[in-house]
Amino acid sequence: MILNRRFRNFIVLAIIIVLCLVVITVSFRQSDLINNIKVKTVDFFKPIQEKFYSFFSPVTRFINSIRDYINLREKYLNLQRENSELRRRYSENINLKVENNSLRKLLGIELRKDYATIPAKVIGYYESKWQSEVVLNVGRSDGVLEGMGVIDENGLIGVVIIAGNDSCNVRLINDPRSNIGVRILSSRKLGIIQGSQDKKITLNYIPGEEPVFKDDIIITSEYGKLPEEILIGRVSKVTKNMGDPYKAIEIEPFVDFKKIEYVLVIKE
Amino acid sequence: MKTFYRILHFFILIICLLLQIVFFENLKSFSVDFDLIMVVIIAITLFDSVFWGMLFGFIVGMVLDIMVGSIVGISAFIYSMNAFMVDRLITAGFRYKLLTYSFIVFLITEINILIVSLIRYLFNFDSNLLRMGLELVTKPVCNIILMFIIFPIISSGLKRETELGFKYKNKI
Repeated sequence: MILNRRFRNFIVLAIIIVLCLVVITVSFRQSDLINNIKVKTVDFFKPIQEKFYSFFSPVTRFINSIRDYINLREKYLNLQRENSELRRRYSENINLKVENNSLRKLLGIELRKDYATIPAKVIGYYESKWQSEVVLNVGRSDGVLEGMGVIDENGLIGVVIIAGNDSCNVRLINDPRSNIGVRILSSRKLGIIQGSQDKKITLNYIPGEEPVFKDDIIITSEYGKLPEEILIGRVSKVTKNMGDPYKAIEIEPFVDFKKIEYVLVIKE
Repeated sequence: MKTFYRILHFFILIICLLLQIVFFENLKSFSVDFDLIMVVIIAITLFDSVFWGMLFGFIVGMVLDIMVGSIVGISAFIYSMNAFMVDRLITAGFRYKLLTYSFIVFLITEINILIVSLIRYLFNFDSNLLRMGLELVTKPVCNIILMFIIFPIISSGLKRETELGFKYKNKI
């Protein structure tokens, strides 16, 4: 009897291993079948997941507030510095905007259009060394499609990778597989930002001789699926390694990924 | 009665899956990293049977991968293997004691981290040794803490079964 049971367990394990290997292989081939199952599963769990998320959100907020409290002093000083800088730039920008708009009108160039957005709520969060994703409560029925950008009031969050009927999965910009074309605002240089396992965002393909300074603002470029000039973050560290033709640039995102609750999906 | 407990355990596992996605992932600051599903799978294997541990591990791992995983099938494989490894440890002579449970959770967590890192590395992903080292230290501690909450929940019904005499009702 015991031998039979052991034998049964070995057979079950063998079947499971074979099944897993088949599924892993199919998954690597990016099959439509897996994508369809993903969409159906995400939709199936959406209502209960939404309820769970709402139920636990006060606890999550409390934990995040502890995290914030620890960095409060440093954040306060940074914000003060930033505020004075922004005040200075604000008056400068107002004048430039008025001047820019009148010049555009004179030359007959269209004014920049605002993009249409779909408001959404975060109902799930998944982070590991190899991925960073959030689940939103909007899907194809609301007009969300794969490849659409997701933003909040601070800037770019990520890109929709799976769109179900009523929910979707968003790959965050600090995910190791995330690649987004960007520009350095001041120098207009093009580059690509990538996430990493330790959740640091790096700006790649900026030549070593190109001047890049700490606190330079990074925005999305016009060469990609995302609309141009969406804020991403600021340069936090610039280094030049011997023998590497490119600079190693770290980006500090404007968005705090742990705290995102309500977002906008860009409908372009 | 056994069937009832199995359905109940599966239900608990599905709730834990949702909890893992909506709540525990948010606790990952300060290197606090819980694997709720793994702890429940170990508990089911210990207090139910290895067969159900493997089966539930496979189903829930697959659902987790489908919902939020990057490679579908990895978690299913890992959780099924976890159940099998727990059974091997128990067969090797480990007793049903608190210290043993802690050791099993510790060992399985370490093996999981190493296996997942190895699989990812083999599939051409880069591996961050520093982060893995930190995970090897903190994750088992978090999971052992979780064990003290999960194990009594999973084992409670089974203990009551013995107390009430359901287990020996045929003999009576």
